Amino acid sequence: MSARRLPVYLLLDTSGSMRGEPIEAVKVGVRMLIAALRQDPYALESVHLSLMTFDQKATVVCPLTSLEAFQMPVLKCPDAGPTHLGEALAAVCFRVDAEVRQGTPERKGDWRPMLFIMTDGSPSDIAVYNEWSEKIRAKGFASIIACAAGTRAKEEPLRKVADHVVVLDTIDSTTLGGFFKWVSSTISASSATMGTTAELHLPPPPREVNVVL
Amino acid sequence: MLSSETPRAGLFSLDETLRQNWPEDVQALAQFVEPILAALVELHAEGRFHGAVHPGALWFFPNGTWHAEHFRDAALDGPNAPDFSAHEYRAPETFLGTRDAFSDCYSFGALLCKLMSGRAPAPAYRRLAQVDALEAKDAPKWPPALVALANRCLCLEKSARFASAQELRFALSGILWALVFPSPEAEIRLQPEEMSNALDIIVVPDWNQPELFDASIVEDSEAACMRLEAVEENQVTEAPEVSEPTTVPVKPRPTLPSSTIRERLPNASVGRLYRVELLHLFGVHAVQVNTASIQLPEGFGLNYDADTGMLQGNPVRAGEFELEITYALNEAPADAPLLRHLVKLTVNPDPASLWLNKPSDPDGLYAKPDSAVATLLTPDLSAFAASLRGRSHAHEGKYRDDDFALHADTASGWHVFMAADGAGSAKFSRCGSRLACSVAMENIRQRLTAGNELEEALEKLGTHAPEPEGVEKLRCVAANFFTRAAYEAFSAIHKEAAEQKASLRDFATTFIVVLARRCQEGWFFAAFSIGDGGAGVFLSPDHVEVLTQADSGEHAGTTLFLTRAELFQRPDKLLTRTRAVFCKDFRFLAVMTDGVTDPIFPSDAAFESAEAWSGLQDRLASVADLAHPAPGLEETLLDWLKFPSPGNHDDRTLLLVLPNGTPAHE
Repeated sequence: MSARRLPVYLLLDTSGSMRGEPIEAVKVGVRMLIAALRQDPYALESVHLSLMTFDQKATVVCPLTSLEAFQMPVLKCPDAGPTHLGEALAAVCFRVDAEVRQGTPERKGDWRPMLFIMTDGSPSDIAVYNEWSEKIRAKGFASIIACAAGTRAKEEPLRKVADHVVVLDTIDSTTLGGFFKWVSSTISASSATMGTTAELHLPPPPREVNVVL
Repeated sequence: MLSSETPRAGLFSLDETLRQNWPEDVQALAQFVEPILAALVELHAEGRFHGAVHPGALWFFPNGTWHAEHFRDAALDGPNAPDFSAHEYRAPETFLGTRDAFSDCYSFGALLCKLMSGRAPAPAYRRLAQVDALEAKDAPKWPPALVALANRCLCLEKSARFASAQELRFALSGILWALVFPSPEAEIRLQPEEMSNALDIIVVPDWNQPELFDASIVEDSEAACMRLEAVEENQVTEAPEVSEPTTVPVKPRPTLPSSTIRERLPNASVGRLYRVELLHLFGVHAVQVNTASIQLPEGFGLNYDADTGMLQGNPVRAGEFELEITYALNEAPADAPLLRHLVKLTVNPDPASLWLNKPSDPDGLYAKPDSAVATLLTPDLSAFAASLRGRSHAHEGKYRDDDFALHADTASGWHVFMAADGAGSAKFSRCGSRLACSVAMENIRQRLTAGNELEEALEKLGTHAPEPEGVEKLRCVAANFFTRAAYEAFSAIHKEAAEQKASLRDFATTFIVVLARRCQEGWFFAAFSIGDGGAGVFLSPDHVEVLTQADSGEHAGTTLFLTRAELFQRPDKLLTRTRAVFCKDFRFLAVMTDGVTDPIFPSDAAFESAEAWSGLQDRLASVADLAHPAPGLEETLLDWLKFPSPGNHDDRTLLLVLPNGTPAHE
């Protein structure tokens, strides 16, 4: 299909601290996100999703796939381990270079991609993180939204990379459900209003989600 | 750089690792043991066994990752074989000097027991066959099926255990499967009193060993156990003379465990042809499958053709479905029951069915009708305009952002056509596009009547087909015209924005204007544009004169808008935006916003190709008689603009201009 795609990258923390309920809540949340987007005609035709996780390494769990064909992959969570968010940002940059089509005279480009980052900690690879948070800003994302989930999450480092930082006080299925619902309406809003360089207007967040920036 | 997994100094024991992170649920537990199981599967497949699955061989990195190499080296035939002193982990027969895949399974069961109850089972020689090694009360939070699985591993009678790690792995993934997708049948079968049977639904029905839990075997194992008890009582240190317990010959079981069958069919979409080969679900095992069929609900829209093995059709209903596959394996006896497996299928809704059509508020600020048409009939040409609100706006009850205008100065014979496309996310762009068209049109209209420079320049062209220099001169005059009109429009928008206390960006709009005039020897066209969309003159199936060049950015949707103040700081650059064309004859002139150009011309290059324009003509000709344009064509065009195109739901505006008096078709 030659339709313009709206690439959406989901970057999820699977470091050791996410084990148990948090990761289960994330899985449920992503499923809800997919189901909600499938009810939006615009998203159904344009949204392409990529799911990446990061713990001590970054993993492409699902490369950029159309919403229609997307199937929920298995998310694994190691027992324990560092949060290499910097490495994950580098991985996102490589994937964007490889997957997002730029406009050429022969072919229309994709919509500007969106990136959602969810973490319950803070980057352990500070130097790498600082380097790639600069570089990722130059990748032409329409919007980078970061979510600091739970009490251990630090929002400060996320401001470096994200246009918007949201804070979740807890990581349970209710809160994350609210977050992913909001992500879905953000993607929907974005897929419907592409066509300008104007700033993305975020839909009002649910009660559990506090927009910080 | 992306996978920096350097082993760190210092390893942790099983106990230390578990203290940090004890697997809390079946999934975590399965993840924890999976690498160990995988290593065993590999060994067993080679016909080897490990022989020393116990904590002494299990070491972990500080991050909880299991040290696989160490485990491999710890195999009894490996270089790092430990002293197997952990009796709790040893299968009864190992005390008699026999070690094989069965005994690995026992040790693995002991490990499971430790993970589930916090401690390893009693040593085999202290146990009674009638009593489960792991009692349900010791592992209250674990599903009975998993407890049963551990107990099956820990059977004293080795033929009652799993024959290999592979089988064990299938059973474990079966439990995971059943937990994630509980079927009513599974619920019933998982009652505690049927605990042992629970495993049977997990390892798909097996016709080779119906006597798995046969009384005779229990007796046998009791006997074996008695013998072992005797060993202990007599404190005999050397292996007693015990004959190898009679084992049921173990054949490879002709079953396909659920875990090797894909759990999902590829997604389908309502109304779109779906075609999948059912055998693909079985992956590498497809060759073993003899017959397969799938049960489909009535009126589902899909059919299964047993001859070709294809599942195909047009799904009717959207949603998540669970379908049952029945199949038989090549090796299965003819009278064996069919095997069953549940697969999931997602059917996406048809996007067309999801679009809403909410009318916009007719009393709102800058309200604009959801569609508009106009006709302009002059002695020289017939022009028809149609503008339609896009589905994306209709879905949310938003206004149409496109606008257009057409005008003919009958005295001079000049025609003006304009289209503008307000930016989708700029809140007042519907007003921006309206102002662009109305103000620029008014400006041009006034200057056309006042006996103008254009007319002068045209006269200089003479009556003959013009030289390129003549056209260029005319282009310059037209450019001046356009630039001033564009500036007027920009100023009007600027003023409106100031009054509204809004930013210029809120009024962002593209702008296309085309001038057309019949000359003695043919037609003259000049055009100017800022942004995307475009205009072109279609001359013949192999000749199109494109009048505009779209400003497209790196990414879709990034374009230039009339409201960019910087544009007017460099008027010299604006002048180069005008193109002019002289032609003897033409078939049609089209002025389109990007809602039309995007679906019709897949790329900027295609916009320049006569072939694509030919396609547009064919599409238009299929709904309207272009050779004999008649009033009412504008309504036909409006209707035509509703054509579906995935991903293209912007407002659509088309101005179609057809020459009079000259046949549009030879």
